[in-house]
Amino acid sequence: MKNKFKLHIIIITVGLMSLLGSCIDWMELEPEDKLIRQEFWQKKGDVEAVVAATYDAFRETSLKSLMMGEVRADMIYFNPNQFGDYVKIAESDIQYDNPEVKWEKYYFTINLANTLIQFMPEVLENDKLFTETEMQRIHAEMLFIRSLTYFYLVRLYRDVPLLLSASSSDTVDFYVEESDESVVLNQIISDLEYAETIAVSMDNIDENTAQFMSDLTLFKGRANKYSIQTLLADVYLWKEDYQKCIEYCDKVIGSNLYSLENETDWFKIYVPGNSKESIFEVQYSEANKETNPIYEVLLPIVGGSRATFYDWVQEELFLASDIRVANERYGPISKYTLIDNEGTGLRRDYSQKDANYIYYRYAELLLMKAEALAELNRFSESQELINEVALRAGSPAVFIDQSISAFRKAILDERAREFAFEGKRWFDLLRFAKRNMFENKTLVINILLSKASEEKRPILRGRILDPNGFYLPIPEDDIKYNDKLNQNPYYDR
Amino acid sequence: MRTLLLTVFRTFLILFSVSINMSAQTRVIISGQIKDDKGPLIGVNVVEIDKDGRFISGTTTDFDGNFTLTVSRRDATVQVSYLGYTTQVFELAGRNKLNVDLKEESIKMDEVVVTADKIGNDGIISIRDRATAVSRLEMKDMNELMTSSIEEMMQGRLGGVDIAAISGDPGAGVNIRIRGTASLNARNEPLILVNGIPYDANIDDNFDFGTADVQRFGSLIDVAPEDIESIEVLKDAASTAVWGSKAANGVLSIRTKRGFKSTPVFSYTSTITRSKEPDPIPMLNGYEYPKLITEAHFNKIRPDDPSNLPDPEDKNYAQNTNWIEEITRIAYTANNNFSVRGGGDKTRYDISAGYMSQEGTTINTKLDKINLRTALDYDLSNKIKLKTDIMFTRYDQDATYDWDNRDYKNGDFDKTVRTVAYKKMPNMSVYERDTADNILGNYFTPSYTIQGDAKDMYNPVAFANLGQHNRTQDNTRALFNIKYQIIKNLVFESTITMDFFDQKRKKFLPYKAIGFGIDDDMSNQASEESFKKNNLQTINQLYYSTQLNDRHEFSALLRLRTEDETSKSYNIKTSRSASPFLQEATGDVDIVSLSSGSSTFRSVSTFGQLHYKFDDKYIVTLGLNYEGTSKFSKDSRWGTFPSVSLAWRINEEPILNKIKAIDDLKLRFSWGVSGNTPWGNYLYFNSYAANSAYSYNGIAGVRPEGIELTSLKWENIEQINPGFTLSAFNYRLTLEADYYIKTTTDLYLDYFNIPTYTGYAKIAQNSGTMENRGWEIFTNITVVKREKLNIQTTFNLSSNENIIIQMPENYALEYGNMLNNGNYKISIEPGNSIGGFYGYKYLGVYKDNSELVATDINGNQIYDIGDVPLKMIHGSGYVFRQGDAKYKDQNYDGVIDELDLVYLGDLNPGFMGGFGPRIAYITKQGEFVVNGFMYFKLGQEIINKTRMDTENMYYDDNQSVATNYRWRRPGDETDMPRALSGDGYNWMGSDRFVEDGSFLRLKTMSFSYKPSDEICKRLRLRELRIYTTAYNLFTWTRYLGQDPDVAQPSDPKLLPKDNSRTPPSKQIIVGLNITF
Repeated sequence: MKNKFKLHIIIITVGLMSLLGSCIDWMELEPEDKLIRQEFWQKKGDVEAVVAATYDAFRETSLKSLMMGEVRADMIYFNPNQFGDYVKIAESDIQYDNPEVKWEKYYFTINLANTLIQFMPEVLENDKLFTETEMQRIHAEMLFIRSLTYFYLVRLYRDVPLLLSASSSDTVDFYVEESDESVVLNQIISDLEYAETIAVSMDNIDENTAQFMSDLTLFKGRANKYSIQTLLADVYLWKEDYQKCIEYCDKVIGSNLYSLENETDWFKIYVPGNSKESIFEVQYSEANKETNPIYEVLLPIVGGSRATFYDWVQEELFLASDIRVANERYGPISKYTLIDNEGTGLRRDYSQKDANYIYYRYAELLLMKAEALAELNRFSESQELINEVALRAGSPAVFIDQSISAFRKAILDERAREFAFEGKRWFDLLRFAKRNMFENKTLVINILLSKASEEKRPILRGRILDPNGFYLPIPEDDIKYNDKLNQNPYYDR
Repeated sequence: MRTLLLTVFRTFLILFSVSINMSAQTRVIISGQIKDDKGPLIGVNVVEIDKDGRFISGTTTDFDGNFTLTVSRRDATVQVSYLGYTTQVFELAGRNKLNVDLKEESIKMDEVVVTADKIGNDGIISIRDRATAVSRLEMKDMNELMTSSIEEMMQGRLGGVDIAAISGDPGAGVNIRIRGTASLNARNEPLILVNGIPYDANIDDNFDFGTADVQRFGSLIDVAPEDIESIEVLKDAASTAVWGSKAANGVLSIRTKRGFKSTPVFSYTSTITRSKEPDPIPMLNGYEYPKLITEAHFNKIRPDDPSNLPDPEDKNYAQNTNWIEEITRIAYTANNNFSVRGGGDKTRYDISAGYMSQEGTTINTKLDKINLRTALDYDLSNKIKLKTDIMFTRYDQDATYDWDNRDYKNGDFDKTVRTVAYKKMPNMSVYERDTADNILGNYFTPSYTIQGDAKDMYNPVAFANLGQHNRTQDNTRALFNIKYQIIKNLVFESTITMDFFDQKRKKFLPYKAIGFGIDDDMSNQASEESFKKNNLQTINQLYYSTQLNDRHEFSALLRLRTEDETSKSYNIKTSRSASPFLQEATGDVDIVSLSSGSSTFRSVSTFGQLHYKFDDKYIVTLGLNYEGTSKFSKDSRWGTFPSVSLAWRINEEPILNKIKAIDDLKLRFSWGVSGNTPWGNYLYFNSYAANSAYSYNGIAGVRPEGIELTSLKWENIEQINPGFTLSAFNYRLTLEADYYIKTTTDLYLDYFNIPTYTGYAKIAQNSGTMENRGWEIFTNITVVKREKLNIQTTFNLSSNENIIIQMPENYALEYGNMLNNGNYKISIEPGNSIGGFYGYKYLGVYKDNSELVATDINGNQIYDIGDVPLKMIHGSGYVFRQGDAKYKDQNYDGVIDELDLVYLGDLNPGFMGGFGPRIAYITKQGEFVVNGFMYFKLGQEIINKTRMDTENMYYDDNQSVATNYRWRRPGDETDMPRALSGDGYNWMGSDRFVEDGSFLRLKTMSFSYKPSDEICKRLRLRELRIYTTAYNLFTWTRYLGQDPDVAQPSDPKLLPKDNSRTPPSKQIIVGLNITF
C-alpha cells in the first residue's frame, strides 16, 4: 500500500514537471502570416523589398507635393467640392487640424529610409551575395529620398522634427523637439555630400551597377550621383549659397548625361516619360496597373474640372507660339493628361494613367544655375541659360534689363512657363520672397490676399505681414501628443 | 502541442495500469433471496465488489427474489442494491447463502441534495463556506418559466451583471458586463464556462471581418435552457483566480443537468413563441414628405424659379408606403427539447436533443438551432471516476445582407435595412406600377432617387428579400475527466476540454436588389467567409483535504492548466457574376477581395489554493496564480496574481448564537488581483508585411508594420470585496450584500497616440488607472410557507460607478468634431467615466430675428467695437437665422463653439436590478404557479440616434411626424427648428437628443399548471406541466425610442447611442413539458 502510494506520487510529480518544462518554449509563438524583424534582414532580397517599399512610399507623397506646390500659388485653383480642405489652405484659412496639413506620409517615407539605413548592415553579415558597394549604393539612395522628403518638409513647415533613426521599438524616444530650418538644411547637405561619394555613377560602373545606368526605369526612377547633385544644387539655391549651387549644377551638366529634348519631342518628357532631359522621376508601371493619382487631379473636364488655371496663365504668361501651352483647348494644365500635343485628345483609358511624376529635369538645372548666376550679378551668362530654355520651347529669346529685379522676374516667369503645374510654383515664389530675410515678401502676400475669401481678407491683411504665415502649422496629432513641440507662432493663438 | 498531449495520455495510461490489477482466484457460488417487508423483490442488483468498490461480477434476482452469483473468493464482499432502497454491503466470510431484507429509502434519490452543504460549481468549496462574491441561480426555482434564450431569462436576476441584447434579430449576441467596464481596450467580456469548458464564441480581433460578428452575433450561450441546472456568476478576484486571466472580467459558470440513479426518465418540452416588436417612431407619410423636402431645399437655395428645386415626385413615387411596417412582421418560434436521464450504480447518463426554429421580426431573417448533448458519468470503482460531456450546437441563420463589415467596426449602422427603412422616402412604391397604378410584380428599384445612390438608399423590402446573408456555425465541445482517489484524502483529477468553433458566412446581393446594372461593380456581389477556432485546455490537479479533529478543516489544491487556441480564417469577395443564380464566390468573376489569416495563442497557469476552516467559524482561503501567455515577450510574459478571502460565521459566536432566528450570518472579505491580456496576438513583435501594393519598378515591397512593443505587459485588476450573507427565520429570509472597489492599473491602451513623425500614429501601451466601485444587494424572502400556498419574493439592486483615475500625460482621447452636426464629444480623461459624453445645451428655436443677437450674462446685447450689435454665429462662421436651432452660449461671446460644451450624461445606469414574486398554490387538481419578474435600470442617459436621424431635416431622408411641428414662419412657437437641406447647424450634439433611459419593465410574467400526481398517473405520465410565459410585455419609460435597454458599445471608446437596430420584441410563449 505504502509503496504504491509513493509510486503514484512519483508518476504525478514527473508528469507535472515534464509538462511545466515543456511549457516554457511552448509559449514562444510567432505570427504565421507576417515576418518579424528578428527573422527578416537575412538576404539581399529583403533589402531590395524594403527599397521598393520606400520608393513606393515616397511615390505616395508625390500627389501631396504637387498639390502643396500649387495650392497657395497663383496659377491654379481647386474645386472646393473635391478639395475642400485644400481650398481652405489656398485661402490662407489654415487650421492645424486641417487633414491636409498632416505630414504623416512624408515621415512614413523617412521612417522607411531610416529603417533601411539602420538594419541593412545586418544583411551584410548574413548574406555574402550582398556586397559593401551595393549597400553603399542603397545607402546613398535612401539618403537622397530622406533628404528630398525633408527638403519638402522644410519648405512647407520650416522648422520640423529631425528623425534620423528608425522607429522600430517603443524603447526609442519619440518625443523630440523640432529642429531649426538651418539645422535640417545642414543635415540634408551633409547627408547628400556623403551620398554623392558612394552613389552609383558613371565613374564606378561594375557588373552589379551597370544596369542602373542603362535601364531607364532605374536610371531615372532611382537615385544616383547626378540626381543627388541636382538636389544639392536646389538645396543650396534655397540656402542662398549661389556659388555652391552653380558648382553642383556644373557637375551635372558636365557629366553630359542629360540634355534638353528637341522642340518637336517636347511632349515626350511627359508621355512616355524618362526622356533624355529627365533626372529623377517616380515611376508608374502600366504592367503593374499602377496609376498616377495626379492624372485625376489635373484632368481638364470642361465644366467639372477638379483643378482649373487662372485666366492670366493663358492670356499673359504664354505666347501662342509656345509649345508649352500644350493644347489650345485644354491649356498647359493638360500636359500630364493628353494623348499627344497635337489635339488628338485626352487619355481616358485606365491603362493610360501611368505617366511618371517628374521631380527634376535638365531644364530646371539650367534655370537654377541661371538664377544663381543672376544673384551673383553674372547677367549675361544667366541670360544665355534662360534663352536656351525659352528657345527650345518655341518662345522668342528674351531680352532682360541688366538689373537684378528684371532678372528675377524673367527667371520666375520662365520657370512658371517651363514647370507650369508641375508642383514647383509655390516653392519658387517662396524662394524669391524669402531671399535676403524676406526682402520681397509682398510677392507672396499679394497672391495670398488675392486668393483669400472676401470675408477673411481684411483679417488676413493684418496678419499675413508675418512671414511665419507662409508656412504650415505643425499638424494636430503631433502638437497634441508631443508637448515638446512649439507651434509655428503664426498659428499659436 | 503533440508532446503535451502525449504526456497527458501517458499519465493516464500509467494510472490505469497501476489501478486495474485484477487477479483470478478460486471461484465460489453463492445463492439467496432478497425481499422487503411486503415480500420478495424482483430485479435487485447483487454484485461482488472489490475493496475499491469496483464491480467484479453481478446478477439480478428472479420473480421469487432468488439469485445465484459466482464470486471470486470465499471472503468476497457482496453489495445488494435496488432503486428506492438502502444499499447494503456484506462480507461473505465463507458463507454461501445470503438472505437479505432490504429497507426502503426515506427520501427519493434526486432530492437528496441539502442546500447548506451543496458544493459550488467549482466542485471544491461548499456554498456555505464560501468567502467570495458569487451569485447563483438555481434553475429548479425557475422551471415554470419558459424561454428560448438563457440571456433573456437572466436579465436583471443577477446583481451586478448587466446583460443587454445587441439587437433583437434572431441569433444576435448580447453584451455581458460584470461589475462594469474594467478595461479600455482589452477584453471586457466575462469568461463563460459550460461544465468547466471555457466557451468563447468571440472571433479574434486579428480578423477584420470577424469583428462585426462580435457586435452582431456576440457570445450566445448555446445550451438549451431545459438542460441547465444552475448558473453561477463569480464576481470578485478571489473567486475567479482559479480560471486565470480570461476570467479577469468575471465568470459565468453554467452547470448542466446530469444523470442520476433511476430508471430512464424521459422529458419532452415544446413551446411556441409569438414575438412582436414595440411600436416604432411614427414617420411622415407620402403626402407630408414631399412638402418637407421642398421646404428644406427652398430654405437653403431660395431660388427665383421653383422648378430649380429637386422634385421628390415621380410616376412611381406618389404612394404611401410605411417602410418600417413593410419590413416588420409578427414572428413565431417553435422550440422542442427531448431528454433522457437515468443511470445505475456505475453509470449515469443524461442525453438531450433540442431543435429550435425561430423567425425574426424583420422579414427574411430566421435562426434554426440544433442542440445535442451527452453527459456520462462512469464509476470505474470507488476510486476512479470518469466523466465525459459532449455538446454539439449548430446554428443556421439568415440575416439581412449588409454592405461591409468595416462599417460595423466603426459602430456605424447607417446602412442596415432598418435604418434605411426609417429614412426611405414614403412616397415611393415597394413594387413597380403601371400608369393605371396596377402592381407589376417586380420590386421598384431605381438605381438613383433624389435621396441618392441605391447603394445607400435602396428599396429596403427588395434588399431584405433578395439579398442573402447566411451563417452556419458549428460548435462542438467535449470534456473528458478522470478523477482518481490516490488515498483517502488525496484526489488527482485530470481534465481535457476541447471547443471547436466553425463558422461560415455566405452573402450574395443580386443586381436586382439595388437596381444597378448587371455590369456594375456592386452587382451580383458574392462573398464567403470562413472562420475556425480550436481551443484545447488541459487541467491537472491534486486536491488534498483533511479534518484534523472536529475543529480543524484543511484543504489544498494544486492545479496546472494549459490552453492552446488556434484560429484560421479566409474570406473572398467577388462581383459581377454572370447571373444572379451564380451565387458562389468562385468562377470567372471579378475578385474584389481575398484574404486569409491565422493566429495562435497559448497560456500556462499554475494555481495553488489553501483553504482552512476553524471551528466552523473562521474560514481562510489563500490563492496564488502564476500565469504566462504567448501574447507578451519573454520579459513580461509571466504574471503573479494572489488572492485572499476570509469569512467569519458570526452567529456561531456565543453572543449571537442565542438568537434562534438567525440560521447563518457570515461576514466575508476578499481581496485579489487578476490579470487581463489584450485581444490581439503577436503584438510585441516588430513585424514586416509584404504586399503587392507596395511594389516599385516591378519589385514587390515589404515594409514594417507596427513597432516592437517591449513594454507591453499584463493589465492588473485589483478588487476588494467586503460583504455578508444572512439566512434567518428557518431559511425563509436570505440576504446578501456586497461592496467592491475594482481598480484597473496598467490599463492596456491599444490606441495610444504618438506623434505622426515617428511614421506611426498609434501604438499599444500599458498606462493609466481606472476604478469601478459599487454595491449589490440580493434578498429572497419566503413570505408564506404553508402546505397549500407558498409565496416567495426576490429582490436585487446594484449600482456601479466608473471613474478614470489617471491617464498618461500625452494621452488625450477625445472624439467628435463639435463644430459639425450630429457629433457628441467623448473625452476619456481623469475624473470622467467611460460612456460619458459632452454636447451643447439646446434652448429651442430662434423664433424671429429679434432673438438672433448675442447677449451677455444679464441678457443685455453685446456690441462690436464699432457699436454694431453682435449677431449669434456658429464657430465655423455661419450666421444663425430665424428658425434655426438655438444653443446656449455658455461663455456669452456670441459664438457657439467648443467652449460652450457641457457634460450631458452617460449610459451607465445609476441603479439596476429586478424583483418579483413566485406564488405557488396547491390544490387537489395540482399546482398552480404564478411567477412575475420586473427588471429596471435607473439613471442612464441615451443618445437617441434614431430620433436625431428622423428629426434633422438636413438630408432628403424621411422624418418623424414630430417634424410637422417645425418652425415655418417668424413668430412660430416651437421646439422643432426649420427644415434646412444640407446647411446650418440644426442638429448639433445637444441635450435635445439625449433622453432619460430609465425604465421599469415587466420582464416575465408566467403562469404554469402542474396536474396532481393522480391525474398524471391516469395519463400514464410522471409529470406534466403546462405553461404560458410573457416576456417584455410592458415597459414604463419616458424614452422616446423603440427600446431603452441599449447595449453598451463593445468598444468603450465608442459613443453609446441607440441606432435603430431591431429592438427586443414582446414575446408570448405557450408550451408544455411532459415527463414519463
